[in-house]
Amino acid sequence: MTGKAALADRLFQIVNEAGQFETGWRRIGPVDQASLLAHFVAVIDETVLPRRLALRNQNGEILCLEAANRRLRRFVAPVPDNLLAHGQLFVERVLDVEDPSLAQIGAMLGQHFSGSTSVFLQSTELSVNGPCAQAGVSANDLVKAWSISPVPGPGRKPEEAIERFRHALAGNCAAWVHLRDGHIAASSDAKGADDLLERSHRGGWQNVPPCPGVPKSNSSTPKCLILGTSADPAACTILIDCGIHHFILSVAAISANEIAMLWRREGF
Amino acid sequence: MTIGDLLDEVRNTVPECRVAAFIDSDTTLVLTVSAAERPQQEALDRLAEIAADIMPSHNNSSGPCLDQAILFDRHATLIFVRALAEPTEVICCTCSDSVDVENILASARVALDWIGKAG
Repeated sequence: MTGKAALADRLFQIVNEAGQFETGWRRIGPVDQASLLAHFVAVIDETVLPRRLALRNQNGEILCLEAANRRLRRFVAPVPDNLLAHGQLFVERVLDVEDPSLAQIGAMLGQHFSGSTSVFLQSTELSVNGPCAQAGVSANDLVKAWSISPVPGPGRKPEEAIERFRHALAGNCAAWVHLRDGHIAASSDAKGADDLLERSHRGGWQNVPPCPGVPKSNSSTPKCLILGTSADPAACTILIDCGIHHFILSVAAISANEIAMLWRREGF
Repeated sequence: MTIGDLLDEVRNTVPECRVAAFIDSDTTLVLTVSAAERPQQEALDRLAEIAADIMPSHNNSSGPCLDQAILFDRHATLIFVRALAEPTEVICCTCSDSVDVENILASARVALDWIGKAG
């Protein structure tokens, strides 16, 4: 090999390892089996809208999959036949790197990328009509659901977490009403409930649950909306939508950051 | 300073802010957007729809006009701030959940005040 060719090879290697050889590819590593599996799970876990993820070794061999909403939707051929079926196992599940059922994928990754010193990742957003959408989830669906991932914490029921959230706010809550299927299930007091419902109607939040008569939400993942004014930022109305359960709370003497902290503390 | 510059400034002031959009809630249109990576148009359209739902331009409440809203979801915090002088104009910020909500409310309010004065 001449000096120039060696230099070219070396430059190719350096640029390649820096992940700048081709636009849109970034280098991930190291490339041992456990790290690859961790990267594999991590890139899927980062997805919201449908994306095609391609992993490429230094020989240019590519492994393609589609993911959305933190879930692996499917592997894209060409991949080993058993993996095409294997991907279906994870359509409804968030991947956990410790899950023993991922061992097969880990072994496949190790085999596919064995001998590579570099692995590259390319992530491309799919169109709403792409194959991922046909696999059961569309970008529109996700956007309509405000990109919410229906993933409550392990063993945690959203209703219980909401109850804790409401309890934490009790000292600041002047009135509250709990609606179930659009009907009052419970309230702090009758007058307070009437006032809150009237305020909800007058506010014109026709499409913002919770409001009586609004159809059940298409997601059971709780959403929390704080409505307030800049004139009195410490007083606000909180609307919680959790499937057929809706809550309206009138709170005072609490900041938006404090409410945010209490909400996030419950794992939402 | 352009509206785009002001939105950029909101994003620069609050690093957790991924997207800042200037929305006309009456027509449900995103007029200007600032983002490191421009979101899909469907996502922007949905932001405008949510802004219009949460902050209808014809707010017939007899109480003080609601001019700020925060929506929490699993992956993001959406923050809406409505102009005091022009109730159809809303800035919506999509932020990571660690965002300082009050900081971004204040930054968006400053941007809307600038836009109002310039108009």
